[in-house]
Amino acid sequence: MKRTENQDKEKRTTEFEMEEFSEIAPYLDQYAVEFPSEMEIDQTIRGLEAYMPGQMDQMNEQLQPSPGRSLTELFQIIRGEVVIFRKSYWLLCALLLLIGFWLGVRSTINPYMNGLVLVPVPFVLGLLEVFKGRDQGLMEMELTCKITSQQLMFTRLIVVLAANMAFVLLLMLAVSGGTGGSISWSALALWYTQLLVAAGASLWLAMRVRGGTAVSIFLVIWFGLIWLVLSNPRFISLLQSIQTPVLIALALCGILLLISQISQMTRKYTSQTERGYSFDIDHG
Amino acid sequence: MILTMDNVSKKYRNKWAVKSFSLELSSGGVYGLLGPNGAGKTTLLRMLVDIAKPTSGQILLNGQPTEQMGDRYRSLLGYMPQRFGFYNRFSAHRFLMYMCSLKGLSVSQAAVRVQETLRMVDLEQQAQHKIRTFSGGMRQRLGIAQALLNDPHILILDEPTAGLDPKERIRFRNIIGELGRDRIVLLSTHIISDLEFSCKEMILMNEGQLITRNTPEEIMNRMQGSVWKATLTQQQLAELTSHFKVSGLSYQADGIVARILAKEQPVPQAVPETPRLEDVYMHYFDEEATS
Repeated sequence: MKRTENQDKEKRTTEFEMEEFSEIAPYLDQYAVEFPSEMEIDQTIRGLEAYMPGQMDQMNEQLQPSPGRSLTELFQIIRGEVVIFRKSYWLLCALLLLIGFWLGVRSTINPYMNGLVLVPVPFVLGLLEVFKGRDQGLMEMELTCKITSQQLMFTRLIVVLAANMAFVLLLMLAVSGGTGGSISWSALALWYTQLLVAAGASLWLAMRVRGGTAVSIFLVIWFGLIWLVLSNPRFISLLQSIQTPVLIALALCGILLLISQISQMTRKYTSQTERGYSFDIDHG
Repeated sequence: MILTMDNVSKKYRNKWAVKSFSLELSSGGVYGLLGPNGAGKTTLLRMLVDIAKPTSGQILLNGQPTEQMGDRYRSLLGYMPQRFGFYNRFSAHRFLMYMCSLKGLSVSQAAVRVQETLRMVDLEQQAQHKIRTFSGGMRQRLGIAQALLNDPHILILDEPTAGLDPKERIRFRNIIGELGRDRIVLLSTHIISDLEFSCKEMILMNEGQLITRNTPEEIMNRMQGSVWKATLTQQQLAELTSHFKVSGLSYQADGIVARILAKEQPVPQAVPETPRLEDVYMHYFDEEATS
């Protein structure tokens, strides 16, 4: 009953409004307002969308870093690295270890001096893996991913350096075990110092030329230098008599060179600059 | 979602690749970026995907500078560059799984997305084949697939159909049309037919600057009455080309049929024609379009 009363009331109001409208309609016609085009309506909606709190909150929620996100990312990078490294690289490292052991055991001079030949080789070869994306033209795609080329190269560098450090330790254990002696701590210190210096120098080179060329140039120079040293007894005795402070100073130089190159790599491949990528503007 | 380029410029040494470019793109449409070689399209896209920093101006996503968003912004992106390489010893499946890990997808998500994208680009049968055995078109499709892996909110494709055969191009256009329904898709090309059917708006740029933006229909409408067709002799054609732009020629038994761009009837026998996108391209860029 009440509902019917309300409906009647609404009907009367509508009739009254219609009457009123028909009275003022001729006046309104003088002030015609053009209906906006579809495009203008669309543009207005788009313009206002940015200020809609619901959408913004949802977006931010989706994008905010969550606890443990960094750890997940780290695992993702490492997983990526496991996929990306050639199996042949690890096989080559194992082969180098065997060669190092064989050279140490067969050595007619100091068994630890022969190790000098091979100590930085896994790191230098690993640079091919570090700069693979850059050298094979994937960098532009990798740079736009959540985990960037810069992060990737840095992680790969850490993997390669850690692998080479393990290689040095294993080689020392193998050579000392094979020759029946104990671990030579001075030789181990010399090997690590040499590794750090060589790593810094080879990274410096690889930052400037393509990976394959840099590795070839560095290995030729390296083997040449080591051949010079090992073929001259005076150099061998000089190396054996290097004092600990000198070794530490040399190792620090190597570390500084390595850090400066890593920092340069970070700057070179960051979104704040051009990420070191030489863009060709002729193909705009 | 709104992606805004606010007065963006990019200078390389002493040349402006992009100059004072302002544009707003919103979800729900494919935008076609059209311009001749050297127009600055690739530079503009590189700034949009955060691999080149603007010399001045800024890029905003929903009002927030993308530069500040870093990987949060990149995780919303899908990008296919104009030129790219692959790890050739990888299979297509392995490569896409690797790209998924870079895009921050979990292994289970990645497995599903890789299958989906391989199906989208018709590479399911070749999933386990080494990339080094792929043809140019297959590599191009794999490039498109990697851009789609993270189901991006913003998809940016630089000359995606280069090297695709007509069937693949049609398939690609359909994929893009579908994707463009609820995200921002920006497609750079100088192949007109890529834009004709799937594009919500066309953005025309040249010499680093925005010339105009509008729907393909509106852009063509603007040229209504400016396109003519006439059968000419060789001599007439030579004379006409010195005064007017000619957007198409066809040699026939009774003479040369030419499409002429002119404000007024260029020769008495000329009849008005409905404008096409090739005419638009010719009008704005004064060079023949690739269709």
